Amino acid sequence: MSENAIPEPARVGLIGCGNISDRYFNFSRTFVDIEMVACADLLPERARAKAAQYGVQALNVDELLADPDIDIVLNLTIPQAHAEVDLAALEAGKHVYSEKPLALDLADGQRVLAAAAERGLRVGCAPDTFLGGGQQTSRKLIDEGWIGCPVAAVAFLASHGHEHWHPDPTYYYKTGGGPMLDMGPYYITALVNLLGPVARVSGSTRISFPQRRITSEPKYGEMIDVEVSTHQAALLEFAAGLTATVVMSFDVWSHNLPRMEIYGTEGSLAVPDPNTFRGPVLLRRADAEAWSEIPLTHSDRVERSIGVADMASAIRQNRPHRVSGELALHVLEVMLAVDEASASERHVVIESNVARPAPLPVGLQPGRVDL
Amino acid sequence: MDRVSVGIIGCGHISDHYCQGLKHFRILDLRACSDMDMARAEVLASDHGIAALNVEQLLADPDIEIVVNLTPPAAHFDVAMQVLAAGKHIYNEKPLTQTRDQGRQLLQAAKDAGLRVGSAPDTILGGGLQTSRKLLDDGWIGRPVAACGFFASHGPDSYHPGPDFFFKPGGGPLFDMAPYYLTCLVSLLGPVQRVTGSASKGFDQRFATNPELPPERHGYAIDVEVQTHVSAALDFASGSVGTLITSFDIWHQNLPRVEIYGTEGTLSVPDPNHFGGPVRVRRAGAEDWSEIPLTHDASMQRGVGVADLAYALRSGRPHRASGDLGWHVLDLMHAILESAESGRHQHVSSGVARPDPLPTGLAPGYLDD
Repeated sequence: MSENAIPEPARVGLIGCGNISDRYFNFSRTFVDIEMVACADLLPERARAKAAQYGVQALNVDELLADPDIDIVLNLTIPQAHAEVDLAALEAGKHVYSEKPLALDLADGQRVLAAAAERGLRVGCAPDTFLGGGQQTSRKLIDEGWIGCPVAAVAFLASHGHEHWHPDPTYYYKTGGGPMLDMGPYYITALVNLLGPVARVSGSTRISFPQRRITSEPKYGEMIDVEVSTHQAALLEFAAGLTATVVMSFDVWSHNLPRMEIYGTEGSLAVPDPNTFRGPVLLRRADAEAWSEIPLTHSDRVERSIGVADMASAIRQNRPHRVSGELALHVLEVMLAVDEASASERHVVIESNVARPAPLPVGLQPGRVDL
Repeated sequence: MDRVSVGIIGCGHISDHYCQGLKHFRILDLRACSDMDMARAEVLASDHGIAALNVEQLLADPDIEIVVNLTPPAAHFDVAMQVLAAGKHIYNEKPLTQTRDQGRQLLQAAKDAGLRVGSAPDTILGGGLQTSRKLLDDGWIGRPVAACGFFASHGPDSYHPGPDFFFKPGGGPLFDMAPYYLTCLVSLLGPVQRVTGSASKGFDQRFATNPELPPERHGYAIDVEVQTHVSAALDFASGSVGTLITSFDIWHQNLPRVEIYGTEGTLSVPDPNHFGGPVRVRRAGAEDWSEIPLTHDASMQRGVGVADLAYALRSGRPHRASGDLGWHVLDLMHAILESAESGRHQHVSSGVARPDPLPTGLAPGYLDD
């Protein structure tokens, strides 16, 4: 297959030189499978600055897409541009890895996957935090039966939003924002990695505050008209037969909720924050007197871009990549179904199906995703 | 104020708690108890210095005004209807009845006869939940916008001497434990108008492992016929959204019992199956949670709802642990299971007003000023 013909390391061109790009620039260096070679941005000076800082080539978007020496496009643009940039990269014959979310609606996400399938190219999509030590250790404990068969789960992200610290928080409260699309990708992807695909979704969602007041600088005192639900109480019924009770909220000042717990026939697993690559992982089997912290079986030193490295290695080895567009599309469908269920007053059947990504092997050398 | 005479029907495990709780209140005169198993009635009667009667005798006693119905859930309706037919007020253990039809009939029969229906749980009258109510009503967390309530255990099969009924129709964690959680949430936030639910069964069989079971019975299997993990989203008429879990499928967890999230802060509500605290508040901007001293007596026990009913009978005011509240909670529980089954949100029309808070400064053993 021609798609296997990418060099080691695969050459990555980054589009979108915003905040998050520094992490990708820095951490892509830690993986042997990828090498950042170029970057582009709608603002040429921003691209030039990052290029100079990290020793890569500054290009404009068209040049980057036309460059035959780039194998993978890393799409770090704003969510509204994700699908469009993905499609342009695929059109140019490149594999593409996008920041979350894959798209703002299902149709755009499906279009991206179809374009990739047509051309025999790969689509990857963040988050890749489930390849971190905390989540992979959780996965290994479940797969090896330490809590028996999972029978229920919970996941909670409850905060008071971003208007008290973020310099420009408005977009969190407009279409494409809200706690589910903002943080759900971490939580729902982690749940699917542990429990498999979701079959049916219900819930109730609310705009608790029609207006929110910015208390961060420089827009202190400005009001935001809230257009998306900011408290989402969801029930996710997994194909495996269990239900996860999920709350995603920007309306809660403080709480005593755990991040994520998986309950099994033989015990319970306290899963760490899925927005990090780290632990702790705690296990308490049925007859145990207390929770035990389990040493991590996988590295928690990995960081954002491990998903890109895994995709590059997968292409070369002709295996499925773990942080895939199919997984992201399934997660997107699940996330969007929560508001839909609340509005339509019925449980929403999830059409897409996805296999759990393969677990990472244990005993990986630093910088590698394959043995 | 004239005392109100009370009789108990059903002398099982919980009846001893009730006897102690009822005797705490000056207004109540606990007279008699009854059970299909007279030996059980006699034990309770001698423990508490009351009369052991058969059911007919108890219902025929003209002095008894309130009957406390502590029979198993399957008998709640029939016994309560007999009590009303005998011209007495009825106070039922939770749930009010098993089916909605029974609940409707019971309330209608009481209305027709000019009698009152009370329903457990009365833990909402304890110091923990009354203090929570007062903090909420006094605005300490602003307007409530969301809430959660979690009961998650591995069920009673390991400790209960005869746990079969927990896993048969009418049982399950929802009908067993949600009355505490839903009654608490409704007493704090008002009625629920819409629910959606999801329900599953983690284990097809349970094994009764109470250590006191005789060897030939120890570990006997119970086929599970009800959903044992039930989760729901609750839309309160006041606008807030609640998340509820009741489960017999969970070995261990780190979930809070009840939390109320408001525009100005969060209230950590104590276990609604008990009368005490702790009650904790964390207002927006606070570095940590503060435990709030209880504003109301936490020493009361099961039976305070009966005492409240007695005061209400004498003064003509509404009683707090009411059949109407019990009916709303019963309606909600059925609606949650229906939603899980049908895949549709259920609108709930059985709305009920929040019971009045208890006044502060009550002397122990008294409920009205």
